[in-house]
Amino acid sequence: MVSRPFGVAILLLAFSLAAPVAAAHMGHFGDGVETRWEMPPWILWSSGALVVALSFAVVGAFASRASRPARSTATVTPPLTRAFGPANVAALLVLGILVAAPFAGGAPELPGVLVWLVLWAALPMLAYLYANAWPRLDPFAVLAPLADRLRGGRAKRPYPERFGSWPAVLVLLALVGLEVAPASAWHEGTRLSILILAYVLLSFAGMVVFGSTVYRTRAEVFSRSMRFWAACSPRLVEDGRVRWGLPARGLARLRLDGYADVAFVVALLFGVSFDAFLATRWGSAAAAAVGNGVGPSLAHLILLAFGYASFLAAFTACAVAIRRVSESLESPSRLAAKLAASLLPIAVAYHFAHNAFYLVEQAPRIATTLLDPFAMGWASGLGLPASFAIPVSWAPAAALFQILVIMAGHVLAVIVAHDLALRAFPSRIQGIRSELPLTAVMVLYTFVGLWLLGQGAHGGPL
Amino acid sequence: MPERESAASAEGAAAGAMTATGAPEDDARATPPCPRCGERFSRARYLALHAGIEHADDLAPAERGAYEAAVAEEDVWLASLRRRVKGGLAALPIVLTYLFILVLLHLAQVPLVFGLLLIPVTAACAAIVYHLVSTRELQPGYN
Repeated sequence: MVSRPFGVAILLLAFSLAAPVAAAHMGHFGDGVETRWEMPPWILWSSGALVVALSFAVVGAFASRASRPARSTATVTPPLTRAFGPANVAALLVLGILVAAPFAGGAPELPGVLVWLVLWAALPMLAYLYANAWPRLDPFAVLAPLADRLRGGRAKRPYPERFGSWPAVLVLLALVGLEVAPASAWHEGTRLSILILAYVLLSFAGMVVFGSTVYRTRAEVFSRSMRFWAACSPRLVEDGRVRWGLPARGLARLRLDGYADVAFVVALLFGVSFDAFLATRWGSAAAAAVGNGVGPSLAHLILLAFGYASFLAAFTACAVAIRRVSESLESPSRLAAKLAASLLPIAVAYHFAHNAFYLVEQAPRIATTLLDPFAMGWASGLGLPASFAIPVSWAPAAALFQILVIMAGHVLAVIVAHDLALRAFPSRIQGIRSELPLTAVMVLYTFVGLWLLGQGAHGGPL
Repeated sequence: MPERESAASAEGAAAGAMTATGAPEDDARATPPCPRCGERFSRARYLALHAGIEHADDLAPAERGAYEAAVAEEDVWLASLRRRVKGGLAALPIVLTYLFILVLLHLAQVPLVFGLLLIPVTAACAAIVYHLVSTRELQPGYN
């Protein structure tokens, strides 16, 4: 891996180069700030792409001293312990309340708050900033022994290899689609409770049929995605010792099995950018255009499928190019599996940039809803506002923050890609060459990401 | 001589077509699979590196020699790449300064022709800096 001071130096370089970018952006956005010139937005996009390309050149040329990084034999999957703690039981209890509350005339926003604010925004953020809390909260840990007991007498049915992690990919995409579904549909209230119940029953059935351990590691979407997010944390536990350092070092240990895992990583990346895209006027224009004949829900579904297919196609084409450039005889899908983890820092950066302010704004709502799940007025004594309003005057600082986060994510992705590429091939030359198509794809993502930011997407600069 | 070969190859790397350090014995089809694990490689050099890394515990003396030769060969290529990147990084501020001036001229509504007149000067300066930096040897022991 790139040494720590070296990584920090690269990040500093990126920040110094991103400064004019940010300046251009603030000139574009600054609310009530007198700017003499309006910087054209393409300066922002091309400076961002330049930062990514430059960091590739610097990392590729100067971070390849050792003949090869030491082989990491650590396994990806932290063992799912059969034991569960009180928090798991509490989570199952919350799950029960969650399913029951809207029917019992409780707070209708409880399912929405728990799924979209806690599961979708807060827990991933905790995972990539600090550590994975999911194993301690996972309600399926409580259900797993029950499922295994039910399964006990039956003939053993192994998890079909060809399923891979495709079930998790499908559920993840369904979640993304659900999040952006037009309001009053299935993404809140009683209907969301029904979907949660359906997911729990489906997972329980899966654990009964295939065995709880294999089902939870391969098909259960939350334990999978939290593990992927947590691999990007700056906090790494090695041999029982906690080490802080450059973020995303854990990705070198995250072994992806086959194309289905690549599809999962791409789905994570796509998921965090898709809602931002829909929130732009281009996105809503596209949804309106497609929805002209078929209605808004189907239009979102079509855009989702098309968008995901194009993301996956771009990365698959990149893998084919990598195979050519690196003169490797391995299949493109195996090469993709070896290198796809380098996309995760980008996904983390978008997730953080888009959700950090949103989460701060919504923090009182989370507290109120969790303290008072049946809307009985239990939390009214605290006097919490409905949400924290972020002052409009913060907009330039918020934009600067988001740009720096996204640039840091891309530079980290380049560093991780270099590390993975040196491990993926016997030859360092092959490794550096294989980074060329990967960097091209990342430059493309930088363009798209900065463009999305510039459109003032949801949770964006207000 | 190996210097020149690897210099040519660095250009090939950008096109993604040419060989790295094109030795004649590196024939794609002629390379046998790894005798220990059966993995196939397109070049004898990759096979030698693979053996030296993955099967380091039981290497024959000839294989050890091939591995060390391959590592040395790649070191030459990497050193060349480093010199080029250093030259490019040194020349970059000149190009950026030119772009900055171009934007300023554009904002001052000066006709674009005046900006284009600066291209030969900029290119010459960048080329001189690139040449000066990229032909200088790196400190020994950099690999």
